[in-house]
Amino acid sequence: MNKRNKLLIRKTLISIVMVLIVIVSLFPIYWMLLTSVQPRHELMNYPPNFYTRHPTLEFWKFTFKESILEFFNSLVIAFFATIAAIICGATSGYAFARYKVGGDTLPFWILSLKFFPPVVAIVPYFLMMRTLRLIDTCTAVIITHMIITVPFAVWMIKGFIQEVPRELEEAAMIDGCSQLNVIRIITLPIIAPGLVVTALFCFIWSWNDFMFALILTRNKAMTIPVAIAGMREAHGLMWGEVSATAALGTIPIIIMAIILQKYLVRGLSLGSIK
Amino acid sequence: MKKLLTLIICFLLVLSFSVFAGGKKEVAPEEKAKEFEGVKVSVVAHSGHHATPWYDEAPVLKEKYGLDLNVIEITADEIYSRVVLELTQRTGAYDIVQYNSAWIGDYEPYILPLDDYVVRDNDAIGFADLLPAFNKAQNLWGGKKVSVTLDGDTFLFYYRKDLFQDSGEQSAFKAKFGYALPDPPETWQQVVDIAEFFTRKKGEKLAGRTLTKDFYGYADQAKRGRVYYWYLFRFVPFNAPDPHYFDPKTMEPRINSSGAVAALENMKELLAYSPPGVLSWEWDELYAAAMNDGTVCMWIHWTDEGRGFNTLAPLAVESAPAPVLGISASPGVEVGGKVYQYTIVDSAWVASICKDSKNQDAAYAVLKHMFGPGPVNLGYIMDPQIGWDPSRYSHFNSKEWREKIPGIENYLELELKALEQGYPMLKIPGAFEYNDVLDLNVSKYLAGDFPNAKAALDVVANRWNELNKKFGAEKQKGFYAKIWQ
Amino acid sequence: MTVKKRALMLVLPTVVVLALIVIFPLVFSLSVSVRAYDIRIPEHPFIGFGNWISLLKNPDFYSAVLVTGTMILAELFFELLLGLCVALLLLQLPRSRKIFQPILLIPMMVMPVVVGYMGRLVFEVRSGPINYFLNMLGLESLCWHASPDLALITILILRIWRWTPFVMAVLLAGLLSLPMEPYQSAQVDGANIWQIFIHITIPMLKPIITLVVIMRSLEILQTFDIMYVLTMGGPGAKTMTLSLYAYITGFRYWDIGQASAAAWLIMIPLSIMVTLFVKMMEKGEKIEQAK
Repeated sequence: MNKRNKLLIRKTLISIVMVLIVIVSLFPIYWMLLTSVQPRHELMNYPPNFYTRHPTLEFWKFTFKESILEFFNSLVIAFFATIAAIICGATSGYAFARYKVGGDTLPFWILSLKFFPPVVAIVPYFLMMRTLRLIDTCTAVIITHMIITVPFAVWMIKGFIQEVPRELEEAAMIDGCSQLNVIRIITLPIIAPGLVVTALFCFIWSWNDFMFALILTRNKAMTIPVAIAGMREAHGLMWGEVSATAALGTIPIIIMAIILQKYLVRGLSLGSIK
Repeated sequence: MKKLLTLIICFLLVLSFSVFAGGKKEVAPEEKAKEFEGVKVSVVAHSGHHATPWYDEAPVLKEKYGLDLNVIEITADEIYSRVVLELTQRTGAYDIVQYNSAWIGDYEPYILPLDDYVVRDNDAIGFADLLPAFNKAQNLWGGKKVSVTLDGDTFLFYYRKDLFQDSGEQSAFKAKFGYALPDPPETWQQVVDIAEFFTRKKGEKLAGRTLTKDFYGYADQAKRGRVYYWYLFRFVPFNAPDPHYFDPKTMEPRINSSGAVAALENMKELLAYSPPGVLSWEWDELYAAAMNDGTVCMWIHWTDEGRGFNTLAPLAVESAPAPVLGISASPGVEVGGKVYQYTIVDSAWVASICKDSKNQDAAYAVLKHMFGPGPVNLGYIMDPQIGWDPSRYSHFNSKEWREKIPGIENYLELELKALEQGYPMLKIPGAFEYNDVLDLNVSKYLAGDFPNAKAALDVVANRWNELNKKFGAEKQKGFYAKIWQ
Repeated sequence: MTVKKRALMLVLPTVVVLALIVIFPLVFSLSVSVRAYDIRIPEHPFIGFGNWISLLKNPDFYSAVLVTGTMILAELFFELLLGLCVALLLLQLPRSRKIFQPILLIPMMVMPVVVGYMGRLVFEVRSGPINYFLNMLGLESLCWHASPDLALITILILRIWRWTPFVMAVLLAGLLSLPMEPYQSAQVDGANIWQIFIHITIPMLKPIITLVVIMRSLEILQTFDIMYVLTMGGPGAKTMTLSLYAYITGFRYWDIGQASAAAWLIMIPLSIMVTLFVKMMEKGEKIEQAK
């Protein structure tokens, strides 16, 4: 009885602490969302308002009018950079894990590309894309994003596949399954959470990238982070407008992460133990 | 799980297709009657309010010439580097570039001089209408007309005339400093005294009334990036009577002269009478504190405050007097009994046609439409939301403007007067780096990274010498001479 | 043989694609690092190690190294400390963990450009909420990213806010996968919680902590966006990190030669760390295989 009570008190205390931590970690996001729906005359008042009685969609309308192209560009770029990464990652990750192609050197080389500082690459990439006539296209940005997403995906997926016991595949093979079917029926379902997490991380990375998109686009292929950084000044910071655009750039990722959170937690643990 | 994945992928696919579908536009067949039917003109503009006129005029230009205007916005942080990249790589992506005229040294090889056009159509774009201060400091380069001014930016000194006119404060000032409160202040020494005098805490008395907020004597816009402007406002007069960035004969930097050191020390001295946080202030923070909060007594800024003189907030005191904005040329320095005051003419935004443009004639037609004297241009100049400042006689003498906003004539005439002492900014190849090196070290000095002002400016002088070497000192000397031609 | 070939065919496209993307920038940056390369000047003379030497003589470069080093140490310390605390707390709540964990991961999803912007919003000097809280507690307003003393701390707070969830998630995953036996035997031996934590949990977490340390250091070495939006390296050069320094040198001053040299100087510690990283992973694999 006493012990149970003690445990209960402890859990309650910990829960309270957790709630406090949650409040702190969500506060800036709440503040941004609040700024995006406050009427203009309430912005930047002192003392600040912690809620608003007159929410307005003025800034969101502005964002949907001005930044929707950038939003879709970001979506297209992140989507294809992710798909490319998953395809490359799945094929070569499988080969690395199962057949030890290239020994340790080749996978290591691929991984080390992930740490190539983007700062050095921007000028040569501009020259390269100019020659290919790809400046201001989503393709150019997708290609440069692959330098980060592909190595990451290869490495992650290689790790996941190594976790699938080889015996399982061999047993199925003996039962008369073709190799493709083995992969489809046995391997894929086991590593699916890992694939989802890998895809999610690739997507987040590509979605968040600022530098490549900044240099390789003019106006037709501009992405959301570049648009946000660009709105920051003009004549005076447009707090409401920037907040709405920043929220537009943040919310899809958060929604996606919440939908996929089951895999996220599992995938993180899979990946990190390796 | 699989279902979910498929669902997400389908969703993304649909989204991406909708983008591609949205990208296509129906091209309606139309009679080919207009002068530049179907020609596409790409223009680079500084993002934000400066780009608005281009968007607004695009349909008008379509109607008038049949051309399509493609506006490319670039932020102030990136516009220089980005345009250099495109121009030097000769991508031909731009027809018209908007840029800061200080960068002409770097842009020159890729810019089309407008003299031929001007001769051909008898100056329809109105170079003769531009104030000489702007024409000289911004458009002319080595005797050629390389650009047309779109924003007559200059810097003016603003002060709270309502406060300066308070008789109680006037006599208190005289009692403390032994001379009458100057209206307007003429020297930087006076500014220091006045700033010290008027810096007061919330609850203290100002102009005989209780302050509702802290009040500060002076403020700069001192964020790293553009703080060098506020240094130059001191650097130039402190080197009177013959201020120079470089020795015109030897190209030796004068940025660490004794005058330059005194200028930087003045800047730090005034920091003590400035609002906390000025080291991160950009345009809007200074504007808001000065114009909307009424908590700053004196400041130097672009002309936006002058045009918006009637929106000045009352002083941050109980039952404040009616607000009055004082405008004058930047404070100067007294040398041998004479006060030298200058007005720095910002090497501000101009527009040029690119040599690599395939549609130069169409581009010129666009420039004429946007900037030639007439109601289109005047409309944008008069709109305080756009941020294009007056640069032409037809703006300053405009009857329309004076009728529309009573009292504006006061500002227009004060600016005209201030511009008589115009002083150009540095314009040589690499001007961006020269200024940015200065900016970095001024910022570091204000942040306390240097033991004294001289040490900071010596670093700048060294770097300037290195830059001279990089671009070729003899060549740079020639370019430096072009500023004054 | 055919299996080997088929496997090679699986790898080939990836390798070719990566090589195509990466070779040009790599060769370009190496060849440029020994030249005076300015995009605005047509000649690019060979100057040997001139770029490297002038870089090593440049005090701004060292101040960038110092800032980056400070960031690495401070971030690692606080992120690991906070991440471990939160993970340990979550461990006590087996049921409500499923609700808390995804919510706590949200900051990690916010794009760095937006984090920088949020910093401007909440740390705003005159009317930001943080200064309001300070005032409520009877303290003076602070200038945060505008102040020479606090700018780096402000950046650190924002970055710790964004990255602690990641560290926490990885550590929690590690904690959950720890075997139970050592704990049970320790409890039998009568060890208290603190002793168990120091002598059992920490040593077992070591590989994961090392992994976190390396991954985070790599990210910090390349980071750029938050400073770009919030301070541009200022006031002075108080928040100028290595990659921002390389960016400004290469893309503002067009000293691409020197920027490339700087980038290669960043690459050296990077590659050492990557090697460590891979060694560790291999070690982990071997342990697993031994099991």
